[in-house]
Amino acid sequence: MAPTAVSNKLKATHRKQFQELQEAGEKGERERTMTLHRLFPLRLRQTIAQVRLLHGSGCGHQLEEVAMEPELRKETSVFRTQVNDPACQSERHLGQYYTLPTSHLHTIFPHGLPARYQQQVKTFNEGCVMVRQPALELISYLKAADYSKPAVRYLLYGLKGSGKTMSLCHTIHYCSTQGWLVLHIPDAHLWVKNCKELLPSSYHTSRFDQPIEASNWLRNFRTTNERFLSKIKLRQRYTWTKRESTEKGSPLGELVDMGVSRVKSSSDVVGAVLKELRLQAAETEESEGFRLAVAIDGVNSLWGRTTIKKEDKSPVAPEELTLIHNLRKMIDNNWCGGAVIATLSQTGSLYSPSSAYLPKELLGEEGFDSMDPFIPVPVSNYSEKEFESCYLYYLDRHWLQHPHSKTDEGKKEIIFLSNRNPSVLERLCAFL
Amino acid sequence: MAAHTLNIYMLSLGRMHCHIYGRNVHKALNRATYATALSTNNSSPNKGFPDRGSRGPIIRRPRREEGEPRKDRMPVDQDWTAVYPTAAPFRPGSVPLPVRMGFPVKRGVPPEKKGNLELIKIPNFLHLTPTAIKKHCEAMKLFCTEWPSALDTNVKCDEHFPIKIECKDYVSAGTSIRNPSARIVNLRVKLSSLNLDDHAGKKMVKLLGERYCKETDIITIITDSCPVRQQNYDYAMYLLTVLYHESWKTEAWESEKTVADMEEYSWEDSPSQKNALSTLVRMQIAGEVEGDAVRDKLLGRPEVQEYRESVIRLMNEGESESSILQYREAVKKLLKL
Repeated sequence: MAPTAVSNKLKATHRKQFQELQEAGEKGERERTMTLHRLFPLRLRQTIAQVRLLHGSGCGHQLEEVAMEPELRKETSVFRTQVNDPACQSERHLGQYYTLPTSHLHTIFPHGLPARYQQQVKTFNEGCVMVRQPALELISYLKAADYSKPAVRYLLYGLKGSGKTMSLCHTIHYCSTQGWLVLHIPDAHLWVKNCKELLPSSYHTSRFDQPIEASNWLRNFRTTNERFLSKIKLRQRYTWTKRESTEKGSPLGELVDMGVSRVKSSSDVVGAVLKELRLQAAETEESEGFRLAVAIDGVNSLWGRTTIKKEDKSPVAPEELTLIHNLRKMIDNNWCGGAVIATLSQTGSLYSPSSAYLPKELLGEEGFDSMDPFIPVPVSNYSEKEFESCYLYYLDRHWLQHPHSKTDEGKKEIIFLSNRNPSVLERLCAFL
Repeated sequence: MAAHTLNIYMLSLGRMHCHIYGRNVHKALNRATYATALSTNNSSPNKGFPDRGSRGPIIRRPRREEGEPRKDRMPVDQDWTAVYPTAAPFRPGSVPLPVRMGFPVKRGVPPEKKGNLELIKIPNFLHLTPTAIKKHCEAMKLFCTEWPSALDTNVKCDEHFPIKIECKDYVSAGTSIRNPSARIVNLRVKLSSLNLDDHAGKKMVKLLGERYCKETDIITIITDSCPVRQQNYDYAMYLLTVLYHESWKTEAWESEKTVADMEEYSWEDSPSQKNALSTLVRMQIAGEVEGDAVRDKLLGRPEVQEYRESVIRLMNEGESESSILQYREAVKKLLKL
């Protein structure tokens, strides 16, 4: 009786939507509420709610809540947002998940996302990122900054597993969609440890090259920034050997290809690429300039210690590695037209205590002096609302299979066990 | 031999039977089969004492009955110092308290004090009640002089007598009155009461090392290298004098003091200042000439001062959420110029 009365009240155009709602209702009450919110705009929802109340259906307290406090209900139970463009996201979307388009996933993030997140993307068949406060703050700074002034350095710091890398990826997505050139180094810690091949540098006698890491990175760089490779022209002539050289005025793509194919000189190619980009980012938009975003994850490895040893078993200092040397030059704020966004990471870092997460602890004296003045952005564990969102997302994806996890008590247990830490929560829910 | 074998056969038969009939049967049978024949009836007249044969019984003094324990005859207003005038072991009959000590058995309580070795083993201070100590003080007053009436507060004492010497005397019951630990002298003085300027103060702290406590600002010098207390006291005073005079002198090599040696972080001439200045200069319009005047003007700006405060706080106090947030605000103001 109730459904037919409601459908009489609504227009015929909404009938199809309503059928979907009914089907969702058969699956479960929560599904129904979620679909209800997704399909019908607020005003109609209120109408439906009131109509249902009049007819006294068995939805009980949930819909009463809807009628009285629709705003509150919307925040707590809607965990998805349709606004997929980071530039348009605002505080209204805090705590909600937005979907990364698949094309972007492959081009922008060939190597950037954390490993567990990549597995999650594969499992769920979609990449959803939560809109959180640190990322929104960073994006607002990037929007408001003046790009004729020297590059501003931003540093994301926080407890282990609190979402620094994901916030960084969110910001990179924003930069990409705005047409910036993104230089993403996914984990700088990988460059200071476990190096299989260490070659003495041809350019500078006391330095060392890492061909494998450099060529890997160049390949990924090529995938990310395809459209810039033909537009940017080199300003200088680079000589690699007696016979090979890259002429002035040739496109950047040629340099990158050469680096990928000639693995021996790939570290020097990386250095050249960075230098060129640094010099050319300063131009304004009219003269075919571009904005440069340098995104480094695990920036504390640049000033720490390495576990790489020379042939006489003495340790290699970070500045003796070509890649690190060139990267340090990028972090200096003597260039304009972009921003440096960095993340601290204790997880891969060497010789640092596992409880350290504050900037000065992990960067050290030297690192702090190099980055200073920078804007530290704290990333904390999930708030109540964000946790709700995450929990509902996992329920929606049918990731939480254990029947007890769907009850309130189970939810309290999950909160207690994970302390609302994103990575711990993710690992915990994988078991459920 | 035959009986023996028969016995064994009976044993095995008994056992076989027990498997059929049950364990109780086995027990009964056991008793029956294993009964031995020796009887223990001894013809000794003394109960419990060993047989001395022809030597005769041990003659012991007859034991007298024990009287009422002292605790039952104690009035409430008695003089306790008469019960325990000196250090003595615990006597359960003399202490009128229902004390229990020891590990309780299962579902029981700690054993009572009568015959309790644990209470006797531990040291007790029954001879040092407040009344007893009052009596000691009264007795010692004969050997003491009056406390000066002008020194009635701690502050005045510190002001007139900043150096405090502490020595310990040891008394023990034994053949010798000597105790080598009595030679140790403990000298305490507050650093602020010494006449030292900035450089001298820092040098003094570096020279003292562990002997200086930063929270309480007290220098503690403990000397025990000489055999006699008088010598140790002289040595402690000598050390203090030498430290004082040395810290006032400035050596030639002190000019090589590096940034790592500094006790506190100073922002002037630090890399942080250089970074901030260079950033600001780059942010300015490119027409301005760089020189000392520009530098001073930049340094004088309130944002720069705020930045300087936050960096000093970060370096000196260490990191914490609040100090980092303060730094963040300062940098935001600095860069949005």
